[in-house]
Amino acid sequence: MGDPLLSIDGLSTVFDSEDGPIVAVDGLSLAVAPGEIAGLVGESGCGKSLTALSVMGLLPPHGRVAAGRILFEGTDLLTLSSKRMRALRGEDISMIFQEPMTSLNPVFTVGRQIAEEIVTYREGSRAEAWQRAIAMLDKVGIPEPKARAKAYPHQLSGGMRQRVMIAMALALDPKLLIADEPTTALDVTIQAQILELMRHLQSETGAAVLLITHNLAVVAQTCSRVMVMYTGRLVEDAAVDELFDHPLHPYTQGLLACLPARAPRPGQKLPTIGGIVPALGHLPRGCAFSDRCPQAFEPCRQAEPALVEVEPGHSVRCYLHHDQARPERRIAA
Amino acid sequence: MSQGAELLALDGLSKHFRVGAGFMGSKRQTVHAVDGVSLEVNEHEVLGLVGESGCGKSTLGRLALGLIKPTAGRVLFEGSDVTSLDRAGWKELRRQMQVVFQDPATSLNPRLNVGSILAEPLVIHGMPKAEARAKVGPLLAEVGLRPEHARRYPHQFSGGQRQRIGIARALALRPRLVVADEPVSALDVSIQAQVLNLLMELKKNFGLTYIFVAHDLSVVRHVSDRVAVMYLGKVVELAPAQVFDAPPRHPYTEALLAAAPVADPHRAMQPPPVKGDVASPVNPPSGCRFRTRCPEAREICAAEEPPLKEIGPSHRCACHFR
Repeated sequence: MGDPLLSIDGLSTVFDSEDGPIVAVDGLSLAVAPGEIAGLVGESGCGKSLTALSVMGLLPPHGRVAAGRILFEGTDLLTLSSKRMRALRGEDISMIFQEPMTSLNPVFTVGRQIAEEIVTYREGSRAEAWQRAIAMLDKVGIPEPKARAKAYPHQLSGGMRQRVMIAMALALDPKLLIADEPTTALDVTIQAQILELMRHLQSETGAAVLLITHNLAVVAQTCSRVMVMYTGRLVEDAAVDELFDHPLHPYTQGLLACLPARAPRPGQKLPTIGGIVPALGHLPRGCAFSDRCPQAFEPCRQAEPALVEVEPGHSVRCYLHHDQARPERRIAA
Repeated sequence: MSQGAELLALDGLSKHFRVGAGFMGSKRQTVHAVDGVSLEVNEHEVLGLVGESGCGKSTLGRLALGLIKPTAGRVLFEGSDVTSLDRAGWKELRRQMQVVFQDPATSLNPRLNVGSILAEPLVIHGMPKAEARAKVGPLLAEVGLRPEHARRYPHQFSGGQRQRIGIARALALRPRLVVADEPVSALDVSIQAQVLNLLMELKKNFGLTYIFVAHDLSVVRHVSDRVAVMYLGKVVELAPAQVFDAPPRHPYTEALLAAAPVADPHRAMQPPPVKGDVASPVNPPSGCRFRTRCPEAREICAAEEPPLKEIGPSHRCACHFR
């Protein structure tokens, strides 16, 4: 991998609460290479969406980045003024969300919303921007784009609205697209259309995609690399084939095993991960997964393991695999 | 799996909703949510109802439970027509038919503690309060919670635990039939497996019959004995769950299967099997309702509605070409 496009280094995102700060993202480091589709997976509350919002500078009130750097093409986004950050969000990084209805403005036509964005960031007239908006709607597979540009969001179906969001996100040719659960609210036949569209546009534009999802099947069929998060930490990072064939972290193993589609026989009892995800303020000592881990042993309850590259391109935060790693391979302390 | 006699039968059930009630001159329209569905559910079986949003699967579940009245058709419980029962009659019948909802956060009363939530159905059906209270501890144990949880309130539980409470409430009256409406859709994968295991275990322990409504094929395939695939208010295919393993299948079932992503990076993603969106239930297409998206559609599909006909052992399919 050459220089990464996005490199997150030791990111900690906290929420200030009455009982003191709650660490939602804890010392997270990850990189996204130019032109790759990387998946960030985990269950609710693992911090995957907050990681994205930290990158975008769009954290909700009470949330703040407490430590770390977020380098985009070498520039630390956390040091940028809000004005420069806004420009960057328009032109270089864009994001699509799970529910397009809440991201689109209900009182403007979709064409106008796309054109507005183009006019704000690009030279040229409104008429040119409108033409570009129609071209983008055409590109994302909206039938009769000229007529649909004049439609309001509520006049479109969920799948069409998500296509509009993608058109808007890609209108300025960003280098990085962050897609947060882009197909979770959609039906499966529509999901297939949107995933195909995203892959097609990605290969056409060469934009890198950070796909955030809870759905391992979507990851398997879309991403080239997968990063697994648990309680605000990255626990495993590997190429997609490697992760599904040889998952190393017991949490990743558990997640894969409990998918009904992977059950050896229908109706058979599914393997489960015992217990529940601990509350962020009450993580167990040592490894955050140690209280649910079927393979936990003594060291796990004493100190948190580091994320270590145990094979080229495959990192895992687990003591079971650390003896395989030479000390110089350590990428985090 | 061994199955008993017919427990519930739905006979030509339809449910039409009137919408746009003349507001600002808008026309009144009719949504054909469920249209002429006939199904039977046998004792001790799991009948899966699968389909995408708006196909009518949840409405059908509610019709079966008498929570809404059908526009046409009948519901038969153990052979007797219960469609026109009065309130008292339905109340009595609800001892035998219960429901588990998708989102336990909105289906449990936040002001009641778990003990009251679980005792409520027993008290409504005439059990003295103290006796009902005494049943709460064992009920909690049945769903994998602890008796002391009875004093807590719904918000003090995780999503998976709340769904266990919802299941315990449904089981309180020892029903024979449970309609589970997307019971694991709101849960994380690891919790989903726990709740599916619990549902299957309870079925075995209490000889339950389930109507299992879900949009996730892999979940439906895992739990069901038979599956009804719905599209725009119609059942397009009804077959043993193995129908998902081999053709012939209804083109819509094929599409659902092909569209579902597989958790295996070595299997290349297939191109989207169908184009476009589901047609509107306000003006459903003539003939076969899937024809507007069906890759195999021909002239006859617009002219004639295909009947749900037998194409194999216990296998019914509504397609002119199967």
